[in-house]
Amino acid sequence: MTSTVLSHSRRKSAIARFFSSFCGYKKHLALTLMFLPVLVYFIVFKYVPMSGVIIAFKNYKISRGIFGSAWCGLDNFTKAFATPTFVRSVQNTLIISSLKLLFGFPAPIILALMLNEVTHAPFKKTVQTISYLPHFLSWVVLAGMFQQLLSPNNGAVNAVLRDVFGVKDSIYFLGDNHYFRGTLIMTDIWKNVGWSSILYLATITSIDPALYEAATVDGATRWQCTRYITVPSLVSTIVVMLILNVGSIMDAGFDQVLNLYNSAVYQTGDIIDTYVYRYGLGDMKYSLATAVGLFKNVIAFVLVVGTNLIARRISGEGIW
Amino acid sequence: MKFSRFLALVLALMMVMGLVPAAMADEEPVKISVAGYMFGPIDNEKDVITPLVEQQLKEKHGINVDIEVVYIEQANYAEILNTRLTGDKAPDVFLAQSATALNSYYDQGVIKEWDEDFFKENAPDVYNFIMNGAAYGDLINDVDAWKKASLKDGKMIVIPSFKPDGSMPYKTLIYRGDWLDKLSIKQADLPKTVDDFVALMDRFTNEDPDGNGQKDTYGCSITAMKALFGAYGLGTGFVGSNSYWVNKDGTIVNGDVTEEAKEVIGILAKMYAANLIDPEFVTGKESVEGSYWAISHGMVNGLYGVSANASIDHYRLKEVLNDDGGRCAQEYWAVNGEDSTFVYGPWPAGPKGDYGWQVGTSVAVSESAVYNAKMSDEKLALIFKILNAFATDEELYMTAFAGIEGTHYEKNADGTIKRLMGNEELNAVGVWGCRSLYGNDRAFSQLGYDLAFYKDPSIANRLNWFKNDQYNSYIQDAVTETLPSSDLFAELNTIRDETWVAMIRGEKSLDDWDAYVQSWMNAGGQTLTEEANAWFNGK
Amino acid sequence: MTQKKFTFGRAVIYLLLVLLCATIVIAFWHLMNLSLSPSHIATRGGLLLYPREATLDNYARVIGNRYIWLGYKNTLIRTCIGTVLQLFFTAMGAYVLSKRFFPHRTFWTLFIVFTMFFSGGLIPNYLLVKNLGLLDTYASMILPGFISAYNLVIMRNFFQSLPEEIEESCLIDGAGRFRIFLQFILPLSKPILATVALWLVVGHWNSWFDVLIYISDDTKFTLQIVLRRIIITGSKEILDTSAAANAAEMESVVSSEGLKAACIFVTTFPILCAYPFVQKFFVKGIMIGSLKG
Repeated sequence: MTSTVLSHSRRKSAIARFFSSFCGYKKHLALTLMFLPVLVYFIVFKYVPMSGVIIAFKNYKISRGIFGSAWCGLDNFTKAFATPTFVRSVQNTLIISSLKLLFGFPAPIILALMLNEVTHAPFKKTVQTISYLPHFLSWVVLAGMFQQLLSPNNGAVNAVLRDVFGVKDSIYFLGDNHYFRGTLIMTDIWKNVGWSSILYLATITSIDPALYEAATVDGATRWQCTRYITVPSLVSTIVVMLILNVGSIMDAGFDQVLNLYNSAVYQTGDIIDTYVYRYGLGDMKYSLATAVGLFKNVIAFVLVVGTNLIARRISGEGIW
Repeated sequence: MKFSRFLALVLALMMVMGLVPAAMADEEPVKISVAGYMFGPIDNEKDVITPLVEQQLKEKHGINVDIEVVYIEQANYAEILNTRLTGDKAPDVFLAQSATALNSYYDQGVIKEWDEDFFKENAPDVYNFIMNGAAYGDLINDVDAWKKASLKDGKMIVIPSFKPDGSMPYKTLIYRGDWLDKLSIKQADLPKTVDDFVALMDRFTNEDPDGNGQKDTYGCSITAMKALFGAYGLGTGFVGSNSYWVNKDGTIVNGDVTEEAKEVIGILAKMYAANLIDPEFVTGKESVEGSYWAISHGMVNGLYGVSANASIDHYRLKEVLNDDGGRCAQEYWAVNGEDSTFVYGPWPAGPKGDYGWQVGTSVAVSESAVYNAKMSDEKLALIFKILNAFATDEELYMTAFAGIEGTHYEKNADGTIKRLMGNEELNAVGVWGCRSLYGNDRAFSQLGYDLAFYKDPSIANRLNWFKNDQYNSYIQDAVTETLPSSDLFAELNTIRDETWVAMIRGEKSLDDWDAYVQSWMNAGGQTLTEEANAWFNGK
Repeated sequence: MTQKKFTFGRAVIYLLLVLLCATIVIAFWHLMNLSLSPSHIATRGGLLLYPREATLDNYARVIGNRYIWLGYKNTLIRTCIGTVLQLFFTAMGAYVLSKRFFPHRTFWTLFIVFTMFFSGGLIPNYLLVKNLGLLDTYASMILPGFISAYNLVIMRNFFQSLPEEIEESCLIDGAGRFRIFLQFILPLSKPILATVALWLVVGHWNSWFDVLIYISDDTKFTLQIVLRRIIITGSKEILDTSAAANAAEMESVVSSEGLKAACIFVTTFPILCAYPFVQKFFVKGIMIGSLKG
């Protein structure tokens, strides 16, 4: 008898708690009102069009519209995924993205920390400004430059390798499966490291200088300051950025790969988006394109949820 | 009494009101929106041509229309247009950029279809022109192909273009003149067989033809490699495009999986191993992204000695038309010096005497006008009447195509015209704006064909050239229709490109050829081959 | 902090930074020279250390285009209005979600983050904009991407790191949440606001696809669209034999590398000037005074 009474009241309080939480909105009315426009935006401009994702399960015809087109279940998925090339492109996407995360993610952090060590203000400002410039160049332009630079026919890099380091055979960076991914990652870092470091620099500047003063008084070295003050202050930013970057793991840099790749390096360089591009999935094959997009999104979301969980386990911080 | 007068008044009013819309219907021009051709940013307000066209249509042909030219960027044409189609904001008349796009439009149900009789009724002169084999009857044998290309499930969906130059040769081999001089080779000595060609490539690589004491030259790159396919009767799409089908004694086979292709790859592999081929043939110094497609950067810059990227018109000498020369020729002289020379070369012939490059057909649906499905039949009839007007009214056509005489163009003695402004400026005032209304490159009239082709001296120059022995090209596709499963080509081309590149570079052995053919067949090649044969036999 | 000015570690850092900057400067120098060169110089290829045949033709062609100033104007309108509004509302949303006591906070965060991953694609978004009557309006350049979940999460993270004592004291003094947000939180958040503002500004400055799809009225074209139209490149696709018909037409569909390089500088120059302004907001020590009071 007691147990049922207890569980009954537990249930009742659980329900009561659920409903009473809505009173929280009234209690924090100002906050609720401040949140409302944001909410409206997401509902209207994000969730309403999200319903269009059903195109992935339909045989969409413009003349019939989204809701008038016929259902076709998972046909679009099987059609798109049927080829071994697609499967390989998924592998390449994951590998390239992971490598970019492994090497490309720490790079801006390191740059920010290095810049933080520079005391000569004009030099620091100059380096900051110069470092983010390549971000503004499109891959179309950069590809042209890199193709010249990395050319096996007297490109500058090969010339240096040959004359300075005595390497005998020219390396065809953009045409050799052994080097292509590395080239992708290095060029991507060069392009984005400065720009990505801005956020970390901003975070560093808001660290209370009193902390550094106290540490110095206690006799800490620069390195110890960095390790025990700067880095921990960056941790929450780093965690958030990491989780968000994992979210774009299925993207792997379409613009870059499209402009740099060729049939000699499809094996290691063909990613999902370039596969889709060659297949012409963009050209009115909306159902197929949406299906592939949905596939990418589901995987990305799952990975982000996983990363968030792991991050919370390890550092106590996460996005949610 | 008062009531009846009231009634009479009401009746009179109603009659007047009944008349008024009818009268207004006479006054109200029909709105037609067409997709125009863009050379650069356009300002519709500066358009002087379109109002003139409207005026002439009204005064001389009784067609009262308000033409709105909608300019859509070429670079993102498909995306912009297709998006507008989904939202019902696409123009009435637009272009299908390729046969695949046409099929897509049809599948999506966004283009109009009509009967042949409807077309005949509203555009009789155009119809007769086409049925009689176009200007001078040159294309009388292709009329059936034209009909077939315009139909889908028995109804017409597009007015295909009908061009004699579509089936004429286009490309030629170009050699660097200074290298030939250094090696003491005259034009008559240029290689005419595959073996001689390979030997010359060897000389280009090893005998220091640029005289700088370094071994930094190659024989050729990708386009000359494709010429070797022609020597075996193959029109190849390597790299990146579909290859031609081959008729082997009544059976249709795709060129990518023939024994001849294997032989060519074998030759190319040997050439590559001997360093005769530019290692960057894959990324293509032939055609650098972002600059004019026809300029072979590698050849112009002296990296390799021969290229087949362009036509004799691109490399036209100054004397031919008494102008600055062809576009690529100008670039060549600018880079190599005003006195530098280049030489046109014959195609190398294979063991069976085949040689040449791909040629197309006289019928094409790419860049042909299609009509929005939301349009009424009356409007379509009107559009066909306009098409007919352009075909019969020379002044009308010239206004839309060339502008105002004296301001935008001048007539030459030989019947051609000389434009007085750059293409961008002409476009800005509305020239070519109504392009989709008169049949794209030319009206379906003798005048249109004369101006665009028969009387154009650069084209005449080109075609005369190709009458020379072993300089023309005639590799034709055995299958001239887009097959139902054409989507599969994307995968097949990927397999072909990867495999062939690996074989040429020695990363894969030619012994793997049969395995490659098998995977090609499994990935959809089997299906396509069956469809191709079905089409061929059903002809 | 008085440390030894010169250590081995310091030297290495300086060296690496100089190397990085050197490569970037060389690249831009090359592009600058390219923008001052006629087309055949680009054909020749190679790294340009000085413009071999300097010409202002490319710039003249870009700046002389009558649409350029219209493009600048429209881009400025969109960037200024968009950035200010977006910054404000994103910050507001981030502030609310940074309060741990806000009901169902985790749910709302997920609600927003979810939209980063799932989208209906081009067509549903286009149809939405169309049905809301926003085609051919400035609103279509600002509203569809109004609040970026990415920016919101990052801002929220920053707000969470601000000490709560400030707000407590203000609340005790009787201030409302909104006032606290406006008068205390925002001023304290200058670094993050400046960073996100920079991202927003650059985003607006560079975006072209939305204008391409939503705008057909050419008085509203932005800078990027105008430039794209100037650079109409001869594409590789025009390679089939049947396109031989009008070689004259095709010949003008060309651009040179030099022209593209000039366009880069015309677009990017204003943005490059923006960052030094932004750096002013990366100010240390804002926090000190506020706590001691």
